[in-house]
Amino acid sequence: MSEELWKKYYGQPNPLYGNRVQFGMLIDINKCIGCHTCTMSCKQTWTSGPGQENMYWNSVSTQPFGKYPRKNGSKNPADWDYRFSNLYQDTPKGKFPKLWQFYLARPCNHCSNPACLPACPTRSIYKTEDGVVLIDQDTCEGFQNCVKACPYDKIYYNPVTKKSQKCMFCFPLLEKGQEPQCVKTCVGKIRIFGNLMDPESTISKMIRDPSLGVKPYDPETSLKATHRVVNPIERRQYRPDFGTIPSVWYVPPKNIPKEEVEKYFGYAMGGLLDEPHHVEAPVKMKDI
Amino acid sequence: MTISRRQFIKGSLSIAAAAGLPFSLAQPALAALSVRKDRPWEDGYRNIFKGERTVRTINMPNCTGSCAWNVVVKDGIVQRVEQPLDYPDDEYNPRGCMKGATYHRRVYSPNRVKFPMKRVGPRGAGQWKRITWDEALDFIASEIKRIAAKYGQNTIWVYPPVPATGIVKQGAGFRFASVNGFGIGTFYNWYGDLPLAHPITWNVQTEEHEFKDLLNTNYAIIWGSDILQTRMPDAHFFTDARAKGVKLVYIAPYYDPTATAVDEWIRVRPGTDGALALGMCHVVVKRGLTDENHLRRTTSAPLLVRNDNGKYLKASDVLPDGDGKTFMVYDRQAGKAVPDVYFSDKPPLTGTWQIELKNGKKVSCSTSHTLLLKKLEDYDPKTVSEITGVPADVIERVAVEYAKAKPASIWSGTGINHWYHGDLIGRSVIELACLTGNIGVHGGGVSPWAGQYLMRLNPTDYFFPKKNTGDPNDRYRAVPLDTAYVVNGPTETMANKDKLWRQIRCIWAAGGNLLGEASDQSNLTRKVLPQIELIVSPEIEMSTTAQLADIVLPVVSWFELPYDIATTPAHPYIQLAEGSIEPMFEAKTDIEIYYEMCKRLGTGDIFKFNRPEPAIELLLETGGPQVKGITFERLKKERCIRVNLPSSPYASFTEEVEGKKKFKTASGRQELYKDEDRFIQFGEQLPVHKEPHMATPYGASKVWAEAKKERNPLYEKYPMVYHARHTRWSVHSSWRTTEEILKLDDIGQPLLELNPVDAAKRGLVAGDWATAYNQNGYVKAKVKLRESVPPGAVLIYFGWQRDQIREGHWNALTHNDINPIHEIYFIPNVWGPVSGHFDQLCEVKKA
Repeated sequence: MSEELWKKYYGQPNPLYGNRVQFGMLIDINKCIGCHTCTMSCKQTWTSGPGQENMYWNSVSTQPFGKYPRKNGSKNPADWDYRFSNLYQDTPKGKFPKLWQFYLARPCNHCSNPACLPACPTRSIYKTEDGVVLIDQDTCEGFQNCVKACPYDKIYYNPVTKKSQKCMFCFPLLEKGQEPQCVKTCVGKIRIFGNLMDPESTISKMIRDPSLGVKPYDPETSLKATHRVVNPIERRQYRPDFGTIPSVWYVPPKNIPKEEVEKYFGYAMGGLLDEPHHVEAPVKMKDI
Repeated sequence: MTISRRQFIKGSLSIAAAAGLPFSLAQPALAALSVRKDRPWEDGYRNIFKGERTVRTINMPNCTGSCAWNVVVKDGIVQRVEQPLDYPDDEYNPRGCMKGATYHRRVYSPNRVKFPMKRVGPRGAGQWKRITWDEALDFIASEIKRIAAKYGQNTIWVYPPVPATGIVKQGAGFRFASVNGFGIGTFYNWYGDLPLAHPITWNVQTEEHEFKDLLNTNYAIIWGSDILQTRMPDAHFFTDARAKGVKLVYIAPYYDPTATAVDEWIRVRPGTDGALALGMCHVVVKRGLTDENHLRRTTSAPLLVRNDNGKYLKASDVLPDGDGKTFMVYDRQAGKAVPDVYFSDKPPLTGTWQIELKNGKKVSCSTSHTLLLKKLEDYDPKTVSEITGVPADVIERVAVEYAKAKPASIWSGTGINHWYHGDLIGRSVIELACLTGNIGVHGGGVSPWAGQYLMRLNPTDYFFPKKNTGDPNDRYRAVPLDTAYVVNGPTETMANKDKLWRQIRCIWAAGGNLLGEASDQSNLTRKVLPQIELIVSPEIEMSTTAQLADIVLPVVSWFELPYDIATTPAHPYIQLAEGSIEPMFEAKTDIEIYYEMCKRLGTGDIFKFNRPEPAIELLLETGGPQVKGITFERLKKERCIRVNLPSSPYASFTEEVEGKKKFKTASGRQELYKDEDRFIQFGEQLPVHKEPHMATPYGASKVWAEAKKERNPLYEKYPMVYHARHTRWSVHSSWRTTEEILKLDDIGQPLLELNPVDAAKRGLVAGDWATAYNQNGYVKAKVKLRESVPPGAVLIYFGWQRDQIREGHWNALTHNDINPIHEIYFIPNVWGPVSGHFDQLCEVKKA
């Protein structure tokens, strides 16, 4: 990310919502070991309640075939299948010796321009002063317009409480000066968390200057963090073509074909909601 | 806090208006949507964290992780676990995977064993009667007394847990067996984790570099170890090294998760890794990239070997007053054999001479390096490419890269060890490291990383208590019997057979799911179990062993025990485990159960401990130099203390390679050449490639020149290699029934994973039920197709409990023939039969 682009995105308070802090994440896909420790820490903290059985605010799936949720061509969230969030794990694409796959860890992107927020008919979704997108569980009436609106499918409807729920960057932990659970616990040490709008923060420096990551970098002083090493590759967002300016940044995988990087982390898909790769025979599991 | 935040947002709106609109979607009206003055609902989420207390403890499964967790307890119930992030060395933070993150789900699992139970129906029928602790212990004691009187005390056999995973509770099993004179099994070699090449070459159990040593390496080969799935807490050391520009190479038949995180993945035919290593050795030698100083000073290379009988030339052969322990080298100036001096620069590496023996006869002797070079002639890249399926130019290139990148490290796992000839494969890999001088240097080494065998303290006084006779070596001792013989039956070539072999009659499955995890299930269930008159299973959950047992005893989980200590080879810390909740149901600690048993068997006074605290004190006091200065009190305060090690990060053999001390072998050197009779008998004095014992289309267990002319008759019937492998979703069978974890494991049931090509040949599509079968047994499961599996292989990720498999067992197809080389000596867990369960063929058909 160029200095210019950083200025445009994060150099001033969010023009729509006014937040002067935008917490965000940098995830190095090259280092992801696909262990789902992030998923489990999140689940054990937030989504172990009724109606949340198949709800993973942070999900990891093996690309290109792993989809969560699996929409089966439907635009109606009621048809979407949230079971088997890690179906097709470790199933690569291609023929030997040219195989490729990668693990894609996805929390909510807490976009600078979230698509879910304006979709809410009850005005229950808002962006906090930290840039975290939250759904007010008191006022949400479960219309699920946000579920449809989010191009990343990161809002989940809880059929028991009849509310929509989503990742909230562990805001109570942030207030205590800790990182979110998925970052704290990431045993692959692939995640860096911080304020994207602070020019001096580790994350904003690392996003602007890819070369910084190769040296063990000073831990964030304000958050209880461990030092992490990140690959010196240009940082990208996942599907920036949706135009919502996600706050979760990625170090794209080196081991996959260049054109695939453009599909996942570039504008090659042109904002289409279609997934880059469909599950095809003979990999497809029947009966599921 | 919340009030100040609300004030904060007021100010920010005006700034937004002034700042202009950089975004393409410019709808300032939306801003109004975010003005939320009333957000009382947020407190609901904040309140979750109120009223919690945390206890820093460790998880103690047998995964080598030994990871720290903060257990968060509220109202006496564990809410979740969190990262303490308090390892003194930040490289080790955080530590712990999704299994540790869900251990409390096992504590509250519906599978928990709640109270002592006695079997009332046939074994495995699931018919139980709840009994009291006294009834259970009295019944076991009377049965043990009966069996001991009928068959002998040593037919009561304790299946030992891996002691480093909770030295007090697991070690109590050893102590229990010792004070009663029971039999005791083995674990490290039996699992197939013991890299026998290490005791063969270095006469050590296993030597490994600390993972942190990867910071020093220039090149790393991960050889048959799916680090990303099986070493999760330490995998980041590899990916970090790669981010900094260190090349990672992964050698394995499968496109495993690890293959996706490295720079180069080399697909090798299963079981031929030894040939690949020797091919690389060939290239290293031909290109003159050998480290001759390393070879001459520290390895068996300059030692003279008699060409008439293949034995090392000893001083007793040559000198009138020479002994049989002194090895000989050639002295060019004197023109004769002279006694070897460790770390000497003088002796020639290669050459063949006529040496006059003391009886006047002349015998042709060569340095062992001469023989090694001759052997390597067979492994030119073209031949090796034929054997392994790796292109010759790749072998050539990787060998040169490895040899030139000093220091370069090899991280080998059980993938190359779970073979009948695993020792040969391991020795070939070590030969490569020796030739290039990568042993004993930081950033080098051959580190196998399998099994939490390393206790980092000397537990003898706790495991084998002293007798009150004044003689420090007079101890209560258990009578060992290798688990491999218990399951497979004895062999002709078994070491100390007369003394050690007996049919056991009672199994006390102390800390492992023996009946669920053992290879050769068919033999175990059909032939062995009917002879066992009592199976006792102290368990947390209803594992396969518990389901098949006669008596099940409820044991506390790691969150309910008072204290314990644990170590691992993976990091250099000794850590304290502390319970955070009261014991659930009627569960008791292991040590308490053993004590109560001993009291009933009349050995309670010798066993002595019914609480862990005095045991921890004893272990630390008598633990030797590594834990000098570490006390229970200190552990309670610091929780995690680095043990005393010669270097940081720890690298093996640094002192030996600097000449400060000798290796522990007979010659004092790294023995690439072995001269025990059995090595000579099988032509394995030097590392060679032998085709797998079962899993080969060619002549089984033969060297390539002979093997390639033959067809393996078994292969005609069963043309697929069968591998039951470790998965990230379980530690063996632990966590296999945890619902949170199962939900993330594909479709949450056993899967036979095939290459689409093989499936098409058999008319299978993904999701079909299929049976994998061979001469030993079968397993039925759904089919999953992926290109990661090479054609001609079947992969099943293992650990499933008995009630999770539709039919058969994933280990019913394995049978371990025992390699006589593994029986030359018997030192429990150091030299014994190493499981070769990857060496197996099968066929798959639609079920």
